[in-house]
Amino acid sequence: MIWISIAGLGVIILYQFIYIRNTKRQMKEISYILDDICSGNLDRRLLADENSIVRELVYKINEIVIRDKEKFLEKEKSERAYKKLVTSLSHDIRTPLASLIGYLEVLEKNGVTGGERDEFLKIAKRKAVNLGDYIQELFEFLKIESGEWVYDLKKQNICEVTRLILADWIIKLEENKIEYKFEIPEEAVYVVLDKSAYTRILTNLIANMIRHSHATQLTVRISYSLNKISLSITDNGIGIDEKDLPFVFDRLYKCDTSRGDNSNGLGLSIAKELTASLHGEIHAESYCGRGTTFRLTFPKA
Amino acid sequence: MENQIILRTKGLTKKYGNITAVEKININVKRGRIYGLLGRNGAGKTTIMKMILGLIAVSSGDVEVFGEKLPGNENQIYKRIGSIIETPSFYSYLTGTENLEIFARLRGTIKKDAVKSALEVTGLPYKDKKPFSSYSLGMKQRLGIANAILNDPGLLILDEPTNGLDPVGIVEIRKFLQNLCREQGKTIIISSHILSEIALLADDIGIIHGGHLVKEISMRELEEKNKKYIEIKVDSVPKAAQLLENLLNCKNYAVTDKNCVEIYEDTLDPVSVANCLVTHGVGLSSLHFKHETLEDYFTALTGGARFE
Amino acid sequence: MNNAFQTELLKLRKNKMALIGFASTVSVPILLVLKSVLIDKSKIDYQEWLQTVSMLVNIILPIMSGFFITQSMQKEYGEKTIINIITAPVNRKNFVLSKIAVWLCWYLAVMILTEGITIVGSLYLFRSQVTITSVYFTVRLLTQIGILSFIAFLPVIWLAVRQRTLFYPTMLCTLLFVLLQSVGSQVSEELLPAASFVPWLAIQISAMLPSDSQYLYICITSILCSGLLGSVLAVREFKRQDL
Repeated sequence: MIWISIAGLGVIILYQFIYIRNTKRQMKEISYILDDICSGNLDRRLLADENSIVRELVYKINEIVIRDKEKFLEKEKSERAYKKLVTSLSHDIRTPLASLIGYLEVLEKNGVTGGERDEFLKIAKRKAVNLGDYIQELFEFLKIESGEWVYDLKKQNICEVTRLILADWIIKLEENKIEYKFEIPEEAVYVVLDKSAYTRILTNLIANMIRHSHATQLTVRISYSLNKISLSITDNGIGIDEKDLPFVFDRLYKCDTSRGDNSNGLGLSIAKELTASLHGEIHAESYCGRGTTFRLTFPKA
Repeated sequence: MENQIILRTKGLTKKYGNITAVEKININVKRGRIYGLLGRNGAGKTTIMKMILGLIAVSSGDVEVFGEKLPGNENQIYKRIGSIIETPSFYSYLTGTENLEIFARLRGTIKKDAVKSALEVTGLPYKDKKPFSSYSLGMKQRLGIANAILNDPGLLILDEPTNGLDPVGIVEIRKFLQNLCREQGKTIIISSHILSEIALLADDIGIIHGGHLVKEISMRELEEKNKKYIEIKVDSVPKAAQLLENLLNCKNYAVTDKNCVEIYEDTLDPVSVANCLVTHGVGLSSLHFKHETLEDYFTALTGGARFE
Repeated sequence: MNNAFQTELLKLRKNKMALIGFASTVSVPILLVLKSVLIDKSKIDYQEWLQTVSMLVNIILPIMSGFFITQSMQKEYGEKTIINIITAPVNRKNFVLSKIAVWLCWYLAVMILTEGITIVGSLYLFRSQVTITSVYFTVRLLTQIGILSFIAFLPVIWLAVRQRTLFYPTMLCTLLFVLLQSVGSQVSEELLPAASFVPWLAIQISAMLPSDSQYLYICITSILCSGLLGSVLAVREFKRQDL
């Protein structure tokens, strides 16, 4: 009996010894990894064994590190966007400005006459206006990025607001020989909106379509369910390449096909940021050669 | 943090008896980027990855990961790497969830429900009844990726992760990896024998041919080479711009510097551009016609061997 | 090591080979009980019955055990799960040791259950003849041979590591060992000194020798050497293996 008790005691002591040694080893490793995290390496993660007593603790520390890493990445991303903005600014302003000056120089020297002169004036004016639009977009982009856009959120009838915005586009659409169809419900559907932000979103989407899609038809449709409203803008243009589609809303992303013509990679990213600020979502679907649909969804008020 | 080297090999060599599988490989993988190892089947991509992961012995040369030499630090280093080598390999008679639970137990976990969330992220069902052997190839690859990202490692080493997948599956995996790199800041080393695949995904490329690293180049440099455009240097950029638009009907161009214009319109040939500019009084100091495709470039590097 | 061992246990849950080996070994005493009840109608002698059980168990258990470890290793190579394990990372030495540990656990579980059934069976068949001493004797005999046989068979794992995806060389080796083990009980007295040095022959010999025999020590030493050599070689082989 005595021997059995002694043997039992021995086993317990041995078990305790192994347990303590294991725990000590774990602590040492955790401390070692934490040193690395402290020195700025947010890629490190602590690992916990299935039955470890420090498991909960390890999970909590990891959560904090992962959150920190996310913040860091967000910061890095916007820094990169700024850098990219600065380099592309020179192209995006220089190119239209150079050709504008070119046309003005020809006009100044009276190198052209009559109908061609009028044509040149028109081109020059269009270029100046485009440049103005670009600078406006740039300004808005910077305002959003720096968090200085002030949102005036009010409950509004989205159908009414949309109709008013689209009315301003009719002339431009006709100029570009684009047939349009608006399917907007007569009844009032309320959404909490900032009118200027919403206007900017639609403006950017339609302007983007006119500029790049070579479409001949445009359909704007609003539909709603119990708690959501959805607005779709569909064209029958060239579509967006599958390779570019996931990135069209990225800051300063330009598709290969639109490189060189007057695109700046700002319009859609502004639309996306603003939609998010209005608690909405934006998606693009596209089939090459058959057209693109931009779909906005907002929660109903 | 930027441009920090996460993984570096120096003179990495593998010999089997007298046969040299790979020789003097020096690759440099930068933080937060996707590094593509491009080479035909049997070029030595898998051998390099296996040596990095300690699956096969290094004949000579060094591997440095996270700034630490590999021998002696394996245990700490490998905990921070997720990998798929050759094909995703799991126990055929166990379900996906059971398989991941085994590897989670083996390594320890970083959060509660780590297995569940890894499966969710890769779009696989949690606790389903299907054994791994009846998984489709796409699901197998996903499970491989789920296993690789289980502990949120900073570095992923993936050997042909899109091999044998259908086009939709390839796009999905590509998007997934791009997201891991861009949104979560992971460093990824990926191998492939398909040029277009690597070109779409990688930021840096190492070209392996016959066991040698023929070239290490960033995608940006490559794109510069791959662009087809006419670069002109002129005394008056506005004049040139106006002529391009008005006479040559060219809208696809960019002013890249004070005297420099790049013309992307591919219907224009250099001679007519030069003629037009010069006859209208624009001083043309240089004209450069860049037109090399990626395939041409690689073919030249690998001495005539073509890629898919 | 602990984690590696635990995962081996997890893998065991749905392992068919483990189940088959388990079932076939355990069924030996059960079938012999049924045979005695249905065919022999208790004309059989207790000692004789025990010897039959012991002999059959000592053949079936090592064969199944060999199958078990061979399949367990070969599957890791065949399904390439070994790559995922080593990159997890698991220390190579720990991998081999945890395989041996789970093998031992399985082996002991099967052995103990078989012994239990044998005793229950003998109680049922020969209630009047069974004494504490005879139960002790049965357990001792089966346990001693079982454990020594496990140790002597450890080189099988070395072969399994060497052969990787191949199944048959290791199986042949297991069968050879089992053959030697069975022959061990037939070794004549003149050959005894030489036979004690052969670990697989020594298993049965050690069971027959009186506890003060000098050959017993030789037997046990040669068996232990075989076990030690088998495990050391397996670890060494695996450590420098290209996967």
